[in-house]
Amino acid sequence: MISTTVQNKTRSIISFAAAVLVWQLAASILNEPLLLSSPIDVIKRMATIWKEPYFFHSIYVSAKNIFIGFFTALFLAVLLGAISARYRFFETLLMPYLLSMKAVPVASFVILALLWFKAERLSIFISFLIVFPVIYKNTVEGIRSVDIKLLQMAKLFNVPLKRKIRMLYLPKLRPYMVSALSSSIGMAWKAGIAAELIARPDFTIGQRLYDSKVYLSTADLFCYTLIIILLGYLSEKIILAITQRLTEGKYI
Amino acid sequence: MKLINIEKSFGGRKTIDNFSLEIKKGDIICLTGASGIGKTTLLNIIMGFVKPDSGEMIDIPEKISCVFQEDRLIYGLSAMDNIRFVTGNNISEEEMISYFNMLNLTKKQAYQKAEKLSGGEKRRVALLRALLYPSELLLLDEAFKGLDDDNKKAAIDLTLKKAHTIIAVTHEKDEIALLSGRELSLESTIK
Repeated sequence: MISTTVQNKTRSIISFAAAVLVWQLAASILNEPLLLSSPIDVIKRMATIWKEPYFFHSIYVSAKNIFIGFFTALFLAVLLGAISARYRFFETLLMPYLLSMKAVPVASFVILALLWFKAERLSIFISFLIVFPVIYKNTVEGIRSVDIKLLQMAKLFNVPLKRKIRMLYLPKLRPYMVSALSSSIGMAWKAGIAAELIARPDFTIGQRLYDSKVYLSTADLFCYTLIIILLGYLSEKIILAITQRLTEGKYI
Repeated sequence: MKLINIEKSFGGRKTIDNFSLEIKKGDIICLTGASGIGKTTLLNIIMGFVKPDSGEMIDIPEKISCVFQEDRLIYGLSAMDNIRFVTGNNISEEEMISYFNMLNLTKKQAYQKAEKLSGGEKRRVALLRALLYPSELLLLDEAFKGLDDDNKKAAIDLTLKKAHTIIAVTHEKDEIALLSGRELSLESTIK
């Protein structure tokens, strides 16, 4: 078991190193930093980029907006998903909105949202829009997956709702939520930053990406891309760890 | 508690036909009869999970406890947490362990996840859950099935100690004898 984990990690490191090597080779062959910065250029830039004014403030503003959208979507999706799982009528009522969220291209929503909200609020709305359907669907499916016979048992023994949620529903919801959260947090970051790139609110990562295009700084583009990937990865790890803890099946 | 002229059909087939029964406090009724004759359906009607097509039910107790035909344990939880799921914090840990011991279950098994227990162990945990829930009526649907003689004896002893009014579905003569209950064959009451 341990050796398999070590083997997998070694493979990941080797494949990652190989990819960086291919990137370096491609950059060397192309020899045009404007089109493709080399990994070395990106590392050099990374060492200085954080010293720039408002660097951390930009990350803070972007993260704040994306998290507001994400957690609002999480709260509402779990709440409405729980109601939908219980009442089919409610689920049918929400269906047109859910289908719209899934079917309408994000770009159309962005343009519409620009008319409704200030530029600073756009990424909140877009990350909400991306996350809500994923968590809603998984909440409905997770709650419905609870064995009807266990629910009958809980009803017979007059188990209080709070205990039913804690010991019956949450452990059952766990795999659904883990899957939903791990895919949606990354999507929230990507869509939120894309929205910022279009709306260009001040002091955000999206605006920094736009600046890198305007000033033809490909190294900056790669740096911020890596920062977005890192932030998405860290958010996923933290949120999943909290989810695992909260949905643990034990009596409290 | 009274059941008067209860009738229930499934898919046009009459499972329970004109069944009546009166149970007084302290009664122990052992329901017997061939498989598919409607014993479990009758328990489900008493618990309110199945509605009878016709008939009357009077003075059904508010608090009913049951050992279902399947264990109906929550597999992600430990054996003890499965019991706490219905009892809450009303019973101390020491007392709970002593009940486990009465059913020949160890302290280690009490903290083991339900899915890790053997069939017979799961059955005893399901029984303990039903016995520790304060109820006025205990329903047993083949509750002692799969238990060896020693464990069956221990389980029935504790059942008689903890519960007073019991309806037990069983096929086993020795269980009827140990429960010292009134045998009621559904074949003779349901036409």
